[in-house]
Amino acid sequence: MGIFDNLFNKRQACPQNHGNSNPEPLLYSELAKNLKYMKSSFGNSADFTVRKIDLKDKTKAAIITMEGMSNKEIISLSITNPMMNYCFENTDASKIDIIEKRVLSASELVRVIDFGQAFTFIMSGFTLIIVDGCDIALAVGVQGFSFRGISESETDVVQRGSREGFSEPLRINMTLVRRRMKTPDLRFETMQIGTKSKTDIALCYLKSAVSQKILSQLKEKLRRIPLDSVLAAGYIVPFLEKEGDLSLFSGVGVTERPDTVCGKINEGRIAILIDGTPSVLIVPYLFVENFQTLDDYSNKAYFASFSRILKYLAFFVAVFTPGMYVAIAGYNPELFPGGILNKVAASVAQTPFSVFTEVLLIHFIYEIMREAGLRLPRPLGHAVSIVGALVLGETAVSSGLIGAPTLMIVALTAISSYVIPDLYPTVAVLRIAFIFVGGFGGLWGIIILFAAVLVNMCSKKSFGVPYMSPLTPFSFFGLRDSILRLGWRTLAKRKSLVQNHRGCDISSQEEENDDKGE
Amino acid sequence: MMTRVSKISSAQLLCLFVLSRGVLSVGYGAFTHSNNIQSTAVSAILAAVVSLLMSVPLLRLGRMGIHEIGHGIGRAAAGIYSVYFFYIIILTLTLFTVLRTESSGLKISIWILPIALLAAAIYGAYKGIEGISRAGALILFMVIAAITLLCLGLISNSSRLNLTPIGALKISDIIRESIIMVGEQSCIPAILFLYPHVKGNVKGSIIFWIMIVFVTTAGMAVFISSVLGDYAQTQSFPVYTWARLSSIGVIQRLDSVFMAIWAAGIFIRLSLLLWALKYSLRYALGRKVGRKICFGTVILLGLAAVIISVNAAYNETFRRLILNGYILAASTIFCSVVLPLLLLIRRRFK
Repeated sequence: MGIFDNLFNKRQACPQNHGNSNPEPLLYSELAKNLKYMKSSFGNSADFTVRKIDLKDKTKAAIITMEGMSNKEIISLSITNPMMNYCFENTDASKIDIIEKRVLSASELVRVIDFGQAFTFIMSGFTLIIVDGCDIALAVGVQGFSFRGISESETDVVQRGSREGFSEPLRINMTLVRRRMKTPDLRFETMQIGTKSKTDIALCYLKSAVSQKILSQLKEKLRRIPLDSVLAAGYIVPFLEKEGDLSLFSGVGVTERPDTVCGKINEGRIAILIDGTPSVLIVPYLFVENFQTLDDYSNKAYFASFSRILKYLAFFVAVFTPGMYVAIAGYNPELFPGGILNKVAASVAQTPFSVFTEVLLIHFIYEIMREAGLRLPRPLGHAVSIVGALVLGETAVSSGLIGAPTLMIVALTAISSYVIPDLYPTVAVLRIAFIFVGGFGGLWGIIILFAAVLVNMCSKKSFGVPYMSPLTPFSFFGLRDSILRLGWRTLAKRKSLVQNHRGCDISSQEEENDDKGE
Repeated sequence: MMTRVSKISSAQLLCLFVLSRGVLSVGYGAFTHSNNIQSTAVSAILAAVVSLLMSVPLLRLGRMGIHEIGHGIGRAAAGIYSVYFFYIIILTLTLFTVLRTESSGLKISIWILPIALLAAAIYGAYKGIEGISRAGALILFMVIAAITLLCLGLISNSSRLNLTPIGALKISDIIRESIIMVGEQSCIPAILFLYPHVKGNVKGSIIFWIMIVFVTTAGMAVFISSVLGDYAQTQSFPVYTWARLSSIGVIQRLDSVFMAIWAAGIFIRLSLLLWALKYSLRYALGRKVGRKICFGTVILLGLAAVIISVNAAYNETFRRLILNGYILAASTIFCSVVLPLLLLIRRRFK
C-alpha cells in the first residue's frame, strides 16, 4: 500500500472528514462544477491540464494532471485508452466503481472525496479521473516527474560501503531503506507538514526497537510545526529541539546514507525522511554520534577505536588550540617549552599585531575564504584556495604581518575541524568564543567558558536521552561503541537501545522542573 | 500541568560533593595558619568522625522534606539556610579572588573573572541539578587527572626526611584544623534540598564521600609535607606552592593549568550553592513568589557576593572575617546539626 493510501485511509477513517468540520468542500456530482471549482482554485495556472473525454455511453469525463509531473505515455495507454474503449453496461453500479474495478489496471488507485485531497494528489503527480454524475474521483499513481538518480552522497563519504545515497523523492528513499531491512518490523508512518507546501514526511523505525514514548513525542512535535512550507530538513530541526534550547549542539542528527539510517533505527532511533531532500533526520541524537562513521564498522576494531580517539582529539584541538595559544602566549608563556617560547617571542616581536589580534584576524580571513570556496563553482574554488594559501598565507608571513606560529595554529585547527564535519558550525563559533576569552581572561577565562559549555551540554537531552550519554552519566557498557569501538563479536552479544541509556528519562511532559511536589 | 522532578544518581551526588569539598582544600592556608600542614592528616580522622555524626540529622530531615515541618517554621528555617548559602557563596568567591590574585599575574580588572565565574555559575544553577552533577563528574575526572599529573611530576622531590614525627605535632594545631575541616563540610546542609532529587542510596553516598574526602586530604597532606617540608610553613597557600614546583618533561610549570582546572571545580561548587540558594529562597519566600522573581533575587545576591568578596580580597580585616575558620565551623555546625535537630524535635511534638 502506498503512502497516499495510508493518508487516504486515515482521512476516511476520520468521521469528521465528511462532516461540517472539514474545511475542504466535497466533490460535486456534476463534472462541470468540479472543473469550474478546480480552474478557479488554480487560477488558470499554466501547468494545470484537463483532458476531457467522452466514454462510449456518451458520459463525460475528465483526466486532470499537472504538466510535467505525470507520465503521459502511461496515461494514454493505461487510462485514456481503456476508458474510451470500454463498453459500459446498464448496471446499478456507479461508473467510478466500474472504472476502478474493471477498466483500469494501475496498481495505485485511490478514491478521492473532496477537493483538498484532489489537489494534494494532483500536485503529487497523480492523475485525477472525474466522471460526470459521480461525486467520487479516482487518483491514479502515474507519477513521471524527473529527478536526480541515486548517487553517492557528497557530504557523507565512506571508504568502504555502499555508494548509494538518498535522493530527493520520498518513495525512492523509503525503498532504499526497505531494501536493506527486509523485515516486517520496519515501519514507515507518513504525515504532511507545512500548510502550503504540504510536504510529505515519513517516520521510519523498527517496531520492536523503538520507544513508543519517544515516537509519540516526535509525532506530537511534528504535528505542532506551524510552518507554511518545509523545503529542507533544517526547517524542522528547531521544532524537534526543546523549546527555548539555545545550545550550540544539536540533538537531531542528519545523514544522507540509507545504511546509516538502518544502523540507527536498529538501535531504537527514529529516522524522518522528508520529500524533496536527501537529508534524513535522526532522533534521538547524542554527542558521541558525531564521532561515529560507517567506516568505523567496516574497519577492524583496533583501527576504528584509534580513529575514534583521533576524532575526539581533533575536536579538542579544533575548539581549544587557538584560544589556548592566545592565553598562553599572552599570560602564561612559562607553559611553552623553551625552544617554542623563543620562536613565539621572536614572532611576536617581528609582527605589528598582538597574538590575540593575529589569531582572530587570520580566523576571520579563513572563514571568509571557506565561505567563498563553498558557494563558488569548483574551478573558482581552487583559485580561492590558491589565493588564500599563497597570497594571504605566504605573503603575510614573509612580509612580517603575521607570525608563522599563528598561521600554523590556524591551519592545524582548520584541518582538525574537518575531521568532525557534523560539528563544524559548533566548532567554528566556539573557537572564536574561546579566542576572545583566552585573550581577555587567559586560561581562567577559557576554563570558565569551558565549564559553562560543559553544563550546557550535560543538561541537554534529546527526547529524554542525556545528550552526553554514555560519557556522563557514565556507562562502562556504553563505552564499547562511543570512545572505543569494540569488535563485532562483542557488539553482537548484547544490543544497545538508545532509550536504555543511563539517566534516560523519557517523559511525555515537555516541562521539566527541579521543584519537589509541584 | 504535571511536572517531574529532575533526578540525579547517588554516584553523581558523590562526585558533586567530592569536587565541591575538594576545591576548598586547595585554599589551605586561607582559613588557618597552622605551622604544619601534616597535622591535617591527623585532624582528618577526627573531622571524619564528627562529619559522619553531623550528617545524621540532615539525612533524617532531608528524607521527609523541609516543607513537611510546618508552614511558618519551615519557611523560617529555609530563610536561615538561604543566609547560610549566601555566606558560603561569598566565602567561595573570596577564596577564588584571593587565590587568583596570588597565582596569576593577569593584568585585567579584578572584577572580570569573579563576575564571569558568577555568570557561568548562575547559568549552571539555571540549567538544573542534572546538568551540574553531570558536568561535575567530568570536571572531577579532570581534577583527578591534574592532581595525578602533579604527583607524578613531584614524586622525585618527595622525601621521608621532610615529614614530622606524629608525636611532634601540636595538639592545638590538630584540634584547630579539625574544627576548620568540619566547617569546610559546607555541602552537608545542601543535602536537605538535594535529597528529593537523588535516586539511590543517599546515606551510602554521604558516608563514602566523607571517607574519600578525609582519606585523600590526609594522603595529600602527607605527600605535600614530604615535598615541601619546612618550606610549607612560610607559604600562604602551601597547596598552590606545591603545584608550582611541579614540572613534566619540557613543561617547566604546571601550576597555571592546575589552577585553571581548580577554577572549574569552583564553578561547580558555586553552581551547586546557587542552586541550593534558589531552593531555600523558594521555600522561604513562599509559593506565591514566582520563579522568575526568586531567580532574580539569586542573581542580585550573587552580584552582592561578588562585590563583598572582591572588596574582601583587598581588605585584610574584612578578608579575615569572611575566611574565619571558626565562624565557618560554627555556622556549618548550626545548619547541619542544631537547626535540623530543632526541626526534628518540633516535628515530633507537632
